[in-house]
Amino acid sequence: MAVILSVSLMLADKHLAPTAELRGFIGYFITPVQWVSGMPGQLGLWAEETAMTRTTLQAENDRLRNESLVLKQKVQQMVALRAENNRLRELLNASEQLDDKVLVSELIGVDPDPYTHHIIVNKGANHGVFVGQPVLDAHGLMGQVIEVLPFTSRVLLVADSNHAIPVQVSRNGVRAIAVGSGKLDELALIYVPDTADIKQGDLLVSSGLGSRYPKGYPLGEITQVTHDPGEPFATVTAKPAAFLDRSRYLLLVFSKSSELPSVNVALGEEGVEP
Amino acid sequence: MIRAYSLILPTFFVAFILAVFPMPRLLDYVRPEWVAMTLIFWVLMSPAKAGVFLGFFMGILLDVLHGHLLGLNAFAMSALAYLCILLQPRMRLYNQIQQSLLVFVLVGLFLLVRYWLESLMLGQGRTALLWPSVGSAVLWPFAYGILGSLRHYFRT
Repeated sequence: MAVILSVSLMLADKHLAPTAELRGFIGYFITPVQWVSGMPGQLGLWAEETAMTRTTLQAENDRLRNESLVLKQKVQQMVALRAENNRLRELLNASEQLDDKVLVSELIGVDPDPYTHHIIVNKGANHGVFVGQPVLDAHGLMGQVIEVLPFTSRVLLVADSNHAIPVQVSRNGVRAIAVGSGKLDELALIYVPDTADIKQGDLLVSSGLGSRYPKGYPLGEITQVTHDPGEPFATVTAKPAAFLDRSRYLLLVFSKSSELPSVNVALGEEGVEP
Repeated sequence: MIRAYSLILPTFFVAFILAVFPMPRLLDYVRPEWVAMTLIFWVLMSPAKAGVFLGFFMGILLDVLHGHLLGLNAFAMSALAYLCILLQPRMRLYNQIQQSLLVFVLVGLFLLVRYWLESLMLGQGRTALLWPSVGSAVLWPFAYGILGSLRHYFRT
């Protein structure tokens, strides 16, 4: 009886969509477990913050104020540049670029399985998180959401060996695919021709192809390019820009273009006709 | 009846926490299957209350906790509970070392079933077989002692 039930459940989970709701319901029972298991870490962090001296806090405050000032100055330039960029894009009949909204979330757990790189964050379906949502930290792309429970969700990191992301080199726009190597500090670029113009130190950004990740977020930096005459493709490795093993606060991106891709395309085509 | 479950379910809650508790990377490789061990204990002690269906429901919870395919652990845990019911009269008479050896085999079989199902359903298994079973067998006397004294204390 239980065997039949679980076999049908497995088949249903593999082939049908509605099991996500069942998963969400069971998630209500599981969330307390995740919270409790994350608690010692949180407690340590809280103790560290509470026990800080006044001078340390003041120094940090000063540093942050300076940083904020510098960033604000950059944003001022950004506004003008963005307007100019959009005007130029209008001249080219291309669609306007929109701002991405983000939701800040906190890491509450790491998957204990040593063969995967999953993390658990403290925002879930009740906060509007959806499967396939891109996740960033302050330095670059972290990964994507693969499972949503009511209050938490599971994120697949870019370094997981089951993960791949379309990228391009920011210097010249050469496209490639970056797959995770299973090691947290290494990505591999696959199917790169020997003649492709990729050098050590190049910055990789997401190319937006595949319409899952938004365009233009930094993924990593090329660390090594090896040309082996015996191999059909060059061996290229990169180092992730995001701090995959250290970041505590993550950004969940709601990019407007990824929510309504078909509508934008349809409008663009109609706009050309008259 | 309700009193019995009021002890069984909290012990499973603790087992779930232990199953995802952050530990150093190296210890992750030998992390015992706490939930499976708790199930073995309860089936051993009170097969009337803990059986295949308890295994099934705890398996589903474990699936969601680990982000596995739904029903994967449910199947393996049901099979484990069934095996335990078959072995139960004999296993209660064993001494600690014999029990540990049997737990090694049982947890190993549990992981093996899970591995088979993973490769059948997903085309690739991501379960380590040997080391978690060793960890479970080594820590079985402790788990048995703690759970046994709890059970004795609450007299269920």
